[in-house]
Amino acid sequence: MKPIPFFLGLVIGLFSLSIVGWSIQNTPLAQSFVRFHTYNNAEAGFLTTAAELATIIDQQPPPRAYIIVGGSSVLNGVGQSRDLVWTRRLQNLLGKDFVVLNFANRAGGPIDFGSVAAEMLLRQHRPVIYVADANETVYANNPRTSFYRHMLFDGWLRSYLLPWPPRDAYLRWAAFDGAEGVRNVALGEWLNSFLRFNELWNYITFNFVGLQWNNMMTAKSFSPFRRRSDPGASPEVSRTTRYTGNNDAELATVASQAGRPIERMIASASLTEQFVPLQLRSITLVVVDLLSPYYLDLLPGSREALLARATEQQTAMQKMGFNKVMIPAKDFTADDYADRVHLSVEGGDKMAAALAPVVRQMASDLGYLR
Amino acid sequence: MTLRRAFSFWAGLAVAVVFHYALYRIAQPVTPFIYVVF
Repeated sequence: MKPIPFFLGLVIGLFSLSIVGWSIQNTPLAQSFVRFHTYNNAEAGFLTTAAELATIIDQQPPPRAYIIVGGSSVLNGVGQSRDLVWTRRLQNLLGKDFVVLNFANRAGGPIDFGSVAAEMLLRQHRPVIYVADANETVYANNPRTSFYRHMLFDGWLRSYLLPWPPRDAYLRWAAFDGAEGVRNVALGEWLNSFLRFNELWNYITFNFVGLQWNNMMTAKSFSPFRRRSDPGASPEVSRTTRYTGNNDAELATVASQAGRPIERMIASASLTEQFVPLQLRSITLVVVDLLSPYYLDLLPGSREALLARATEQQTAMQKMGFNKVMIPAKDFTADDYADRVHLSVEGGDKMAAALAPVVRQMASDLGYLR
Repeated sequence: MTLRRAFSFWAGLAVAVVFHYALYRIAQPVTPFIYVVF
């Protein structure tokens, strides 16, 4: 083995792979995109990159306003099938002037995929409204516990994020964070900002050969991710299986959530202040999620307690500068839910119908429809 | 001699591919995704 040709090959190889990673666009992912699901996301070990989000956005014909949906599984549409997901209903209601993109994730939060996409559009002076959800005490989720924190670092290193000193300071020093998971992601994304391995190997994994091996992939190793369809259950299946879980466990969770102390909301508000720039808040419509009346009605007083805390959350978030904060599920029934927290197709349709006029009004107020 | 150089060069390229892919794999979550709601 000759050392000079070896290292020459190594350097040329790394350089070439990085160039490909820098220039590649995962167009097939963008063209087939409806929402993130079990098989094209972190659960399957597929960590979508900020560049892939940008490709999904750029594949759309330029609208008068982009409606970026971010946040948790409630807005992702868990409980609804791909074809009947609530964001498709919202798109139909809003019409061709708007492009609705569902970047919410299972176990996701409002400061990962959706906010990175919305901030990127803001930085590019493109018209955008961000729709994200909170529960009755929490809006911004802590990056230390987020499954999607890589997106925050990726977006920041790509200069997609708006300047926001408290967040910039956190991201700048995250490589020295006390939590190992944060340190690893910070360093990994920093390396990726030069070598672009995530972009290249995600492209290969999605289009040619599965390169993820984990518990979920045991029966499907090596098949490209583009062949893995959204496993969202049909409305018939959802209807027959809902509320069939462990009732006692669900009721205990509901009781705990309805009795959460105000301190939790205050702690979460400081995270929101740290991670959500004012400019993003000014174009954000927040949906405060509630729980299914199926369980709330079994616990006397829980409905009122939850709604009271959700209303406090609404007031607090409006004071923090969010454009609009809604509780659309106030009057939803047990049939509007697919389980304790997620909406059924009927519930999704109701939410889309409640949000559409508000989104249209926001777009008008923000000057997007002129 | 030329053959040895060519072999070394190709070995370097192969290591670059493995290293690049290894960085991608290392970036994947070590702990399994556990579905939680808040």
